[in-house]
Amino acid sequence: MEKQLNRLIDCSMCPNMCKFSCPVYLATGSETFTPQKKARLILYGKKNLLQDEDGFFDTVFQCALCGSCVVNCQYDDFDLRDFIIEERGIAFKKDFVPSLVSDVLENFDKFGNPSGKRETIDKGEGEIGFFVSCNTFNDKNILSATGKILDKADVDVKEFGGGDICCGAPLYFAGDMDGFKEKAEQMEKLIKGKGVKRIITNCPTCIKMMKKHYIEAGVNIEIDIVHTLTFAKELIDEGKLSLKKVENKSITYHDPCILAKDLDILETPRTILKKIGYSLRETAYAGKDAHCCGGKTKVGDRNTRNAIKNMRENELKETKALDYVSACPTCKDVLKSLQMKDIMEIIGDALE
Amino acid sequence: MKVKSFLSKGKNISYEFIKEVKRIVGEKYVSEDERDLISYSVDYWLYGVYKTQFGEVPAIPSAVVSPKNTEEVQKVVILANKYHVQITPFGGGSGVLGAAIPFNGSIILNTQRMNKFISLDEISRVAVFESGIIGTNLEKELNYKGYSSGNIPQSISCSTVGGWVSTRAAGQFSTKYGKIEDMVLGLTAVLPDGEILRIKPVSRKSTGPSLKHLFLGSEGTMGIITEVYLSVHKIPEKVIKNCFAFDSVETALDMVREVVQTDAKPAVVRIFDKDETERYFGVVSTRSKYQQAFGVAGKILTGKVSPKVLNILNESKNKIGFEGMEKLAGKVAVIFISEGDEDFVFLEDRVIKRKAEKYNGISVGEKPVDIWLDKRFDVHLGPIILRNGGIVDTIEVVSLFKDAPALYNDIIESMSGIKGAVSVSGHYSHFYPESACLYITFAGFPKDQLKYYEDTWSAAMEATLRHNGSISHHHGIGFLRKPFMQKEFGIAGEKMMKDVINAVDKDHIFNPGKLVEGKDGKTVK
Repeated sequence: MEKQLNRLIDCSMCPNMCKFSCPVYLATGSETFTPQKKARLILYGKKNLLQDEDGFFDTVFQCALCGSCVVNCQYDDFDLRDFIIEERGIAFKKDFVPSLVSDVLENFDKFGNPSGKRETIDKGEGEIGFFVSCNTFNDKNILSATGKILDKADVDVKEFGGGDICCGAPLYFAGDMDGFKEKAEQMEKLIKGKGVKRIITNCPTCIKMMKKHYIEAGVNIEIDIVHTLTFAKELIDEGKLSLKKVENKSITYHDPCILAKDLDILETPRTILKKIGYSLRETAYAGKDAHCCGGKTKVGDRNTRNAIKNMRENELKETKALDYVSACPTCKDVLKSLQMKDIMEIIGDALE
Repeated sequence: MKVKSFLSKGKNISYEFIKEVKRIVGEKYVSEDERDLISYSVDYWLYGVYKTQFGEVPAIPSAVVSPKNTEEVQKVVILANKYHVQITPFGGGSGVLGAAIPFNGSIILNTQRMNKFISLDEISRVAVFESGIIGTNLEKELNYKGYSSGNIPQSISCSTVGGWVSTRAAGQFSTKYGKIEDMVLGLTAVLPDGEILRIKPVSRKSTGPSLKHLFLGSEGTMGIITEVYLSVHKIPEKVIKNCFAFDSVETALDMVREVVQTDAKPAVVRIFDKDETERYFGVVSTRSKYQQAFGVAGKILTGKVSPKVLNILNESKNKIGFEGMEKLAGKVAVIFISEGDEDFVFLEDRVIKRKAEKYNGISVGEKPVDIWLDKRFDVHLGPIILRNGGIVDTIEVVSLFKDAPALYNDIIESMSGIKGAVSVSGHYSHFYPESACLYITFAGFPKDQLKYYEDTWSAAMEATLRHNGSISHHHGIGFLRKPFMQKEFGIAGEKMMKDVINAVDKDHIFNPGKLVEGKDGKTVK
């Protein structure tokens, strides 16, 4: 902890070498919202040098938690997001909840999930568990494309989700660490009860929660969790899926933050798209340099979130591609004005 | 506020000004909030940064105003005139001389909302940007279309194009592409009286004294730059890298001088002195750990550091072994990158190799160049030194070739003799047929940080002036170098500069306390 605190001090005195990549900074033009200045304010908060507590708490919610600062950090053992989340936890305990987040938390209170009342999914048999994330639950196209792919490859899965089943990410983003731990424990019990050897899911955030933040919360589900994209690539490589080619079609792939920056999955989607015959058109900001879509609940300020979304939409439009695709149901929903598709839909459409 | 300012105290601005400026830019883009006043209280002036860890900042602005375009800037400036409110422009906040520190409780005019790439004229190869775009993003936008500005400073990821113009910035590839003054073709700026000046992006006009050049290096005293037109280049088709080892800085300077006095224009040329050769390339050394950390000037350095810091200094050295690295032991490394049209690059490579042979340079291949390319944006050590009670900074000066060896020796010796110094090293990184820029990095662990900092800067400035050098090559003046401007220009020169600034900014609205001492004595109130 002392080492991390020292790194926070280092971050607060860095020339701000990562600021060029921060979507909140780029969308707002605010120096205060750059990573280095946030680090300085967090340090001052810890030293009891700040008087405007609400202003400070708002600042820690002016972060997309996308990891751009981590990718471009001068220190390979430092993640500013850990401090941002810690401060959000303090804010939550002091009843500071940004308006954008409060609706989501209300839904959690009532229904145990961020969306509202919904049915529970619990069907199928197999050694692989297919966890239907909250945003996938709301997108029947992704769900049916994934089902089509699994059917075609003859993969039996235990499908689960809906109801009050959620990885807890919105609670984590809101700083409700007790609520998050409860969801993690619920998920652990559920998954262990399924008796599956591997979990697949369409949502990068769920993967990161289960692989990293559950463990930080003291919960270890001890099962391999992979993105459906990775799983589909395995099926293609094993010859269980054959794909027909498209002709004269251009496409732009939007890298979801967590998938690209935290899980390091950059080439797999591009390889699949090329295999299907698409001509890839990259944005000026692609791969680990891709800007966040703004997400739904990671940024606490509605205006900032919308500004980030607009910025990313404009960057994507610059490619003038025929189609746009991502590998995250949240990104797809946020960027829906581009008729964004999920990569599972693209694969599903290309099945022989 | 619990966070205190130690350099310049703020003053309150009127409620009416705040009310009216909010009408211009919108409520959310005018802030008097604690978090914003703290965030715009210092740029990257290193002593100021050092103090921030203790909750002290140089100067707290009265408010932060963030306009979105030239027209809003114009309205804000007119309003500032009406209420006699002073304005400190703030771009990336990466300047190291304190030029963006808001003296006198001035308001900050934040240019960072104006951060767009506007257009590229591929026929003339001219690109237009809003002034608040960060360098890395400027390059990404150009690279995406197959071009580059050629200006790649170490601060590229945190500095803006407006800041580059305001400080006469230089990048690592300047020997071929020039400094920013060689790239800027035109600009848009809001003058202190609120008029909008648009300088056409056309080369080499004969239309009287160049107004454009009034803005180059003006550090926000002449106007607020809102748009910049840059000359751009195609991304090079051919790149050749070379590294040679020489016996001394003097020999290396002779060799490089002969190269740049031919028609050759290598993009990158860097001469690393023996300390920096060892630090950058991790060459095998027989020196003690203490000597390795303290460098060749160790015998005159006066500071002491804890074993922990000694380890940090040594840990920062390159650990990657490579074939031929032993050739650099105890030597001065010189690296070259030649790039552009393939035919010219091959010719340039032949010239470089011929000159290296003449001066008994030993070829070390291209690996050291790759190591430098990998490490050139690594600044992680600076904050660690500051956190451990040390002071670290860089100083860049420029002199004619005939004075360069004596200046190098004098500046190293003078700075090393300041009480508390633990490391003083240098490299040359920007070359012209007549001159070379010397870039010094220094660190100390003194008991009195401020005295060490001020004495070291004075020693460097005085040594430069003794050898007919200029006190800055590309970082600018800010407030830190102001005391040396009269010696730089002479009494007449300094007066003329004040007269020009006073004529343009009659009511002393822009960037108080910067560039020249008190302008006419009224500015710093």
